[in-house]
Amino acid sequence: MKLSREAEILAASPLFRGVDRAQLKLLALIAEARTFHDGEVMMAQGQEGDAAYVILSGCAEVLVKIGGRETLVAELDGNDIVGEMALLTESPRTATVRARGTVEVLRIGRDALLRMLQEFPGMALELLRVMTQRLERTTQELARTRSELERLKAEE
Amino acid sequence: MERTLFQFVWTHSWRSQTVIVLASAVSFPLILAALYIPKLIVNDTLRSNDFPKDVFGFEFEQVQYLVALCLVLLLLIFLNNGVKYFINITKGLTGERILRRIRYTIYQRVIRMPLTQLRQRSPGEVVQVIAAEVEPVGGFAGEIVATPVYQGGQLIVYLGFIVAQDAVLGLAAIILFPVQAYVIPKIQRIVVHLVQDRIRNVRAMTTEVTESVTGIEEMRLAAAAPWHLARISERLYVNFRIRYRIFLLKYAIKFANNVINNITPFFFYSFGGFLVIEGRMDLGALVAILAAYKDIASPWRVLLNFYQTFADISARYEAVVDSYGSEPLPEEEEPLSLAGKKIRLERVSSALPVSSGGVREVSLTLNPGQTTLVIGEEEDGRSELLRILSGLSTPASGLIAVGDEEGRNPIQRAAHEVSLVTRNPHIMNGSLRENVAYGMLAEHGAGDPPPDWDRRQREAQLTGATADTPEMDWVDYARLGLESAEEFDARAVEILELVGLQQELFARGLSIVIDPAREPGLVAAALKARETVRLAGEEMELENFVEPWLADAYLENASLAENLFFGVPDSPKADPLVEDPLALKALARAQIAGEVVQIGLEAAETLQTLLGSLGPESMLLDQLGLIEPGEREEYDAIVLRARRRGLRWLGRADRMQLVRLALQLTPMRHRLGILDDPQRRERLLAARKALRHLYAPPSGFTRFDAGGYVPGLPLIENILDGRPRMDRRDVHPSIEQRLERTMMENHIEDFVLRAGLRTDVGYAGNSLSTSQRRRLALARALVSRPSLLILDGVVDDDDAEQRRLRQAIRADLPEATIVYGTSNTEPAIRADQVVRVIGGRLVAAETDEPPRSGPEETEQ
Repeated sequence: MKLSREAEILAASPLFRGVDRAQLKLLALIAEARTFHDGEVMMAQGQEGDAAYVILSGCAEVLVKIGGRETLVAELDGNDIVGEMALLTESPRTATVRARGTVEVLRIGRDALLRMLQEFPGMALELLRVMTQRLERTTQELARTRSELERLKAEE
Repeated sequence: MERTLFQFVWTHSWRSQTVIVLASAVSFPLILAALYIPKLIVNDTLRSNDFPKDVFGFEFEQVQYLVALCLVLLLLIFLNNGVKYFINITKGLTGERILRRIRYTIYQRVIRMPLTQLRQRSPGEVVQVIAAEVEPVGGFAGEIVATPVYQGGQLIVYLGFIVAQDAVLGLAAIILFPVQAYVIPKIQRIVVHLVQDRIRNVRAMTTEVTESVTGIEEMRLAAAAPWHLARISERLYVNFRIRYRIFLLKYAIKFANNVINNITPFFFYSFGGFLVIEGRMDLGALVAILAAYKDIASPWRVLLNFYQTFADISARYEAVVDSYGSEPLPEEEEPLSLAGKKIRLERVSSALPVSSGGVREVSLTLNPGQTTLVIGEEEDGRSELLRILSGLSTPASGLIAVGDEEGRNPIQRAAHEVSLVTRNPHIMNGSLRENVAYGMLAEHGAGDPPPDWDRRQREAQLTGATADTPEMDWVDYARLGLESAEEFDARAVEILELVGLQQELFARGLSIVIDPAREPGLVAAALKARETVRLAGEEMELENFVEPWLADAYLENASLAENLFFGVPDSPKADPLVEDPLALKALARAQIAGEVVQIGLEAAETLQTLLGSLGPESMLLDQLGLIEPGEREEYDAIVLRARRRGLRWLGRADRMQLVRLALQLTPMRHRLGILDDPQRRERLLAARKALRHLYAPPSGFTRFDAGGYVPGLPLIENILDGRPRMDRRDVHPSIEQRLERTMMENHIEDFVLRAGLRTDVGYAGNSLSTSQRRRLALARALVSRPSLLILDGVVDDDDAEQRRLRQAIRADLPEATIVYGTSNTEPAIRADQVVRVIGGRLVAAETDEPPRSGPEETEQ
């Protein structure tokens, strides 16, 4: 069944790993289907967004504008989730995502997710855990980059 | 308003009161006659043998006489009750008219009340007064003259009758009346005080309830519910105590009345009886007195009751007049024109103290056509100064001059020419057009009066109200030199474009559903647009955004109902197919009903599994929009029954419920996977073919591929001749934007924009964002071409969009005096004059930071 497959895909994405399968099915049920064609912008850097996309099929490229030029920073394909920051905060998008070929996604709206979290606090905890791990990794990377920077400065 | 209840009622209804009294007077002999005829029948006809009788020259035999008397009796019964009916109707009418008048008068006084006074009242209290407090006045107004006159009259007649027979006995019958007339008003006075207390208490309670509802978020956050409950409980307890005391006293009065009324016969029996035994009184006389007393007691009791009710309702009336009817209203003043006039403030101080955001001794001159910038924080006096300039506030001292006219605030007399926009504008519940036109309403409605116009006018005249209805055309086109509603629409569209609401207007216009019979112009425009869009389809990539109505394909973006019947009911108000028994019958005849029930069951089962872990009140169901929270248990029960008995043995109601669920299913939206099976789709498509000839409801039904305008579909689907694909909603630019561009290029977008004017903005404009609400308020301010435009804290940012907007406003109103208020200390607004408000005082802009003067148009 469609929903089971979608729930599988959600479960495979790092954000929802560890969340109960039945709840993921429910999330897939209230999510909406979206399709993008080749070259279409799925989200634009700097614009407000209120949804995340889970890529069901196809691939997309993540571009960040650095010094006025768009630079490819990542590529996404099946099972990847993108734009999830918008689910929890109202900050503008940090990157542009553009479809490469036809992309089918599941759109998870902020409202829908918040309602899910209200319903299942366990799911909120799970999300929190994943986010914290990410923060930890980012902090570690930051520390490493800093020390690298210090080292380079020292070498100069 | 009149000081007392009686004055109010008499002044406004003396004609009908007189009619009631006269009718009562007429009814009196009729009643007596109706009582007299039976006596004649018994005594004169049945017991007598003195026939034939001669009456008015006619001779009657006994039977004839009986028949004649009975006919007269019958006639009297009809007459009597006819008059009674007439009196009741007249009383009711009089009461209703008085009620309408009193409510209208109070509302009128409330909306004309000086703002400072009105601000001290709670909305809940006003509602309570208009809706509840005056209500009993209406029920009572018809009695107010008739009852005392009629009952008093009866009393006097009976009394006269007795006194004429025997003066002493007559006086004996009323010997205790003075006691009642003395005691009862004494007690009643206490009741009146209590009634006033009760009114005050209930008003305070409505204030409290209003406050709770408006402050509910704070209450929840503070978990203050118990405290509020205690407050209400206290009010209710006080109310209970007052009411308890009121009915204690009321029943005490009743008790006293009853005792006194019964004591009089007690005297008759005891003393009278004694006198009869002693032989000093005739038994016949005593019986006569007792009978007479009975006649007197009845009107007397009614009079006493009347007095009590009258005192009670008078107390209510006076409480209402005290709070809403006694203050003199500001007089309607001669309107004043601001056009081309200088506005001068001289040492103006607000009634509001400086510490609360008022201003002191402000002097300022606004030259016609110039732009003035007032810099300062709202609470530093900026907003109060702008309110004074708009005429909303009346200063406590100082002088304001408009041209040669001087006064406390002559700007008040120029309301038609002043517009003020604040950061929190009030948007009315209504259409965009109504909101835009709000600033230029006429004194009276124009256009076709409603069909019952004569009657409305008569009633209006009888109740001091206006006969105009809100459905009439209220927009004062002439003020703008416009001639028709269409011209005004064009102006409204132009202004909404100017303030940046064009996209919203267009998107809204696309969503409306119209009745083609009533709007042939719109239909023609839409069909023409369909042609244009079809030709431009390739360029717009339509096939990527729109699912066309293909007769032999299952539609992903349409519900099962739409897929089966391949169309929609004509009237948007008609029950959906789901509720139509004809539709269900057609499904059965197309031999698809079983499959539909099966689909419904599968959906119910899937939902049951998926929603199993949800709480009963879950918000997630709203998100899904397929079943109501309350229906979940029903579906669970149906699934259970279906499992136990099998689908075939399900009851009719259960099957209907499943059909209802199934028919809503839309593959793209609900994604339960139930409608994805190709063989099932084959069967459903085959049924679609069969249904084409099986379903034609009387209320009208149009199929998607009928070729013309499909009445039940929104404008956008009629223009696209298909449905926008749900899965393509997030693509930028969206189908609506593509459509707008194409239609603008072909200059055919106007009818959509005009249609957008008719869409509703929701309660307090809640279907709009804050920014859109401000823009709408700005449009409302601009549309009437004011001579003085005041913008308090809006359109004051230094970005390209707002700069464009400021220029556009100036270009639209080249001769208007414009005042901007801003808290930006480094404002980007170019003005002819820049002033600062600090601590309620006006300071000219510092010279070391030269004001950027000059008209804004030169800015680039």
